[in-house]
Parts: sequence; C-alpha cells; structure tokens
Amino acid sequence: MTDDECNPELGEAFNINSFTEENLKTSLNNPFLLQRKFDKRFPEYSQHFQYLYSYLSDMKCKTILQENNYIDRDYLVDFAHYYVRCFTPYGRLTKRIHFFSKEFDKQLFLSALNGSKKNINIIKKNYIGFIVAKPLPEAIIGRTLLGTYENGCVPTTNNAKRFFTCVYKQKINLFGIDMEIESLEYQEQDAVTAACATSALWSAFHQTDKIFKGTWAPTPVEITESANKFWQLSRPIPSSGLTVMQMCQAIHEVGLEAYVHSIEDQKDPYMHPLISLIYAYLKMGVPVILHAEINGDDHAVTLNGYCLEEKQHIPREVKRNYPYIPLVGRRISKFYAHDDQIGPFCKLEIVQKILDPYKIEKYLHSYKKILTYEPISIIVPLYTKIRVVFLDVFRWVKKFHDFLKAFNRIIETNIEWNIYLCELNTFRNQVLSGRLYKQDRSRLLRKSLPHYIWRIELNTLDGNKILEIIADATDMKRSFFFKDMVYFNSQFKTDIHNLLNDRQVRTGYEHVLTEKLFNFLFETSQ
Amino acid sequence: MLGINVKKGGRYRPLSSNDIKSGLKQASKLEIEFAEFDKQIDKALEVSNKTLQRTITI
Repeated sequence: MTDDECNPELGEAFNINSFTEENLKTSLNNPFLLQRKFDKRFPEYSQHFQYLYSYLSDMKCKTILQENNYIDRDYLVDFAHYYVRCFTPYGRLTKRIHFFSKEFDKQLFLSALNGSKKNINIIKKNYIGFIVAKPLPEAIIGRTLLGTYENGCVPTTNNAKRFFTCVYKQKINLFGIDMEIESLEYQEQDAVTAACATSALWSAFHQTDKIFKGTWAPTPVEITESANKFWQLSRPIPSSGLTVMQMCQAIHEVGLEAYVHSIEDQKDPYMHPLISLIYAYLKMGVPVILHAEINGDDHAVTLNGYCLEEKQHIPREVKRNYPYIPLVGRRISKFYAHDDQIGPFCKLEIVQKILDPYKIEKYLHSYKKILTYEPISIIVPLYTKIRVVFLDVFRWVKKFHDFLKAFNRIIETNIEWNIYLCELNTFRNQVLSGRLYKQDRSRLLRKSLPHYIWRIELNTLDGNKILEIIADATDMKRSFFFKDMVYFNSQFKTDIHNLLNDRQVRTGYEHVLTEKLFNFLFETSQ
Repeated sequence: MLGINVKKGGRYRPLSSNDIKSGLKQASKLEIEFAEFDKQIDKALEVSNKTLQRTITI
C-alpha cells in the first residue's frame, strides 16, 4: 500500500466499489446501526435506503467512492450539542459517499489524483452527488446532495417538463478535484436535534441563503434552538416537533419573514388556487414548505420544483362554486419535495378526483401504498421587503379577467394566467434579450421598479403572449401595486383602449373595477 | 392567438357594439361578485391560532 492510498492514523482514505445494493449498504453501515434500516420487511425503517437505492439506479449510478473520516459541519455541530454527551461513544467523523455514472476503479482514481487530466475529467463529468453517512443507530442519512432527474437525463412522459427551481450550483472538492452539481441539501431527521419541521426548514434555508442577501443557513440544532427561543411546549432537545408558530420564529431568526397561508381555516380546502399559489413562489426559486396531514399526523416537506405538462392536467384547481380564473396550476402534474421521511426530490403527484378537484399523493413502492397529503398550511420564507402576496395579486387579476370576459375579449377555455414572483434583474435580462419586448424595451429598462416584482402574464394555450402586467411586490395590500403593462398584440391593445374610452363603459365599470384599476388599464392601453 | 376573440379562420374579431352591450349588462352582477370575492380574499389572508399552534411531529 502506498502513501496515496493510506493515512497512517485514520486507515484508508477512500474505497471504491461498483454500485450494487449490497455495496451501498456496506458504505452506509456503522457499528451502531440497527440493521432494520436496510430490511425490506420493515418499510417504516428502510424507506430511505430503498428510495435512495432506487433514485441512484434511475440516475444510472455505476460507481461508489467512499471518502472515509469526513468532517461534516452540520453533523459536527449536532454532535457537539448532543451526541458527545451520550454514554455510547458515537463518532464525530462521518463517511462521505460519492456516486458516479461511470464505472471506474482505484487505479483510474489514483491516476486522477496523480494529475491525469483525462481521468480527472471522467471523474468530474460523471459525478451524481454524495450522501454523508452519520455514525448513528438510525438516522444515518446526513447532508445529501444528489443531482436532479434533469441532470440525470431521466425522461418524462407526454413532453412534460421538470423544473427544479430551488437548486443551485454546489462546489464539491474530492481530494483536490473540484466538481460541480446542481442540487439542494437534504437530510433525514434524527428526532434528537431535528424533527421533520426542522429538516424542512434546514433544506429551505440553504436555498434562501443563496437567493436572499443577508440571510444564512443554520445547522439543524441551531434551527431547533431558535424555534424554541420563546415558546417551549416540551423539552426542545430531543426534539419531538415544532409548531407552525415556532417555524415562523426560526424563519424570523435567519432574517426572513414567514408568509403563512392556512388551508384549514378556509370554508373549503378547494376555495383558492393552491397549486398556482405554490407555483408563484417556486418559479422564482423560493422554497415552499407544505404542512400537510398524513393519516392523522402533521408532516412538513420542502417543495423545490414542479412538473409542467403541455396540456391541462386537471380541469380546475377550485371547486365549481368558487371564483376562478384559468391559471398555470392546471398544467402542474407533480411537485418535487425534500421529504425527510422518504428522500430528496421525491414526486408528489397531483391526481384528479371525482368529488374533489385533485389530491396530492405519493406512491410508496416499499409499502406498495399511496400516501395522501392533506394540506393544512403553506409556509413561505420570504425576504422582509416582499409584502404583497399571491392572493393580493390574484384579487386584482380576477377583476381584470372578468372585465375582459364580459366584453368577449377572451375565450376563457383557450387562455391561461401566469402569475409569479420575480427579481427585477431577471425581468430586465429577459426584456433586454426578448424579441417580444422590442416595442417597449427601452421604456421598460429605464423605468424605476422595485427589486421584487410580481409578473402577471396572459397567454394563449397555444403559447402566445397577449399581455404582461408588472406589479410591485414590496408595496402593501391596501395599495394599488400594478406599475406597468405591456401588450403583445396591437389590435387587442387598441380594442381595450376603445373599450375603456367609451363613456358608457367608464360610467358602468369605473366603480366596479375601482377607479385605480380602470385608470391604470386606460393609461397603459394608450 | 386562439385565446383572444377570433373569427373562424383565425382572424381577430374586433370589438363590436354587441360586445359592449353584453359587457355593460354584466356590470351590476360583477359588482356584487367582486364585493363577495374581496371578502373571501380578506378572510383567506388571515391565519388562526389553531393553525399556528399545530405541532408538526412526523
């Protein structure tokens, strides 16, 4: 054995094996581990292992590289707060298990470590991600970064498109080899320093840390402690769970504010367009925590992406007796979630039903059963200045929609409203490069607008843009926050102008739409 | 552009006096609907203590 292969103090620095179920078990194993963690006869315990094995198989994993004696910051802080004071001598070092979509052996890897550019490229190009294996009896899945199905080129059905919006480029250094992967941190709850609510927040904070300046991503134990700062229902550690209020406190502690939309407080869970509401935040890359009831227990998962179908997936998001406009949510067939009970990027399917418009479901292969997620609330960690929420915007859009419909300007079955939060710089980049904005480009680029805006697009189902409204996301709900509007069809614009210029229409609709909306529509159609 | 009002054959159907008549007739109905809708949205923006105090355990 050479010095390259062996650390005299800590044993082998790495092991390389082909990807098989047995080798994955061996890599994740530790002396304290209860073996039911891998046993298919106990799906409630082996769920993570089975999900990860299946996920890595779908990603065409061929090789496992186990980096021994790895120091993981999140585990180390948890260890210092709790495990170090246990009688059982749990270790402070972890294993970082890397996955590759190409078969290679120790010789090839050693040659890469000796500087072979060709072999370094093979290692980099075929990287899928890693799992930190913690030396604990049960919750062994530590910080995990795995590529998405989009990176893994796993095909979709019906030309649907997956959007993993809450992922970012992660840099991983493996013995000096710099690798990159687009992912979002995941880990299993240990029910000691973190329950599922903490794990959901922990994943969400890694994303908000990247998109909102001045915030940070604390470790699980730090989240549990900050959540329990003012309200302690029982001892905070070992953690048995967090209330929604405690989750809001933890969000506040990282410099953000929580927007909570309660579904259980509504007369009917299908009263408002929930799928489009979630989408409106996910589209900008803001993670959404879905608080749902599963078989009578409250659970939280971090939504981080969605699957958009070409055609309508469900006919309506709300029940027939409630106000509605056609929104993008009807085309969303799945949400992707970091579910600490299952694994990273797991599919939550939107399934059409007879009595209700849809249900959110997850098929568990290990149990061979379907879990139904009954939404209780939605928790969105937002930058403090984002004060106008989806429903505030929806209120105005609905009025404009009904006005256009009343005068036969739109055919409801052929259009779709796309409402989403956006950063001003993203909008400006699109205005600068987008052919459609040619007429209004200079005016829009020079216009003074806030850092966060709501974009409201009216599109036809065959993919043409009719108009776009820009609204101020930093204003307040009692204000009128529409700031600008662009028409992409000149005849349509002329008709709207003629309509609003009609004396009878003004008399009949000025107070119905409100003077502010009426005047805004009139001025922007000139 | 099938979403906006078009004639058969795909040509855009401009605003007519019938469209205006039809729209004006609906003004009072929409006024009532919007008032009810505003109330529903205001209610939807509230969060009860019951929700805030639910414990997420699994």
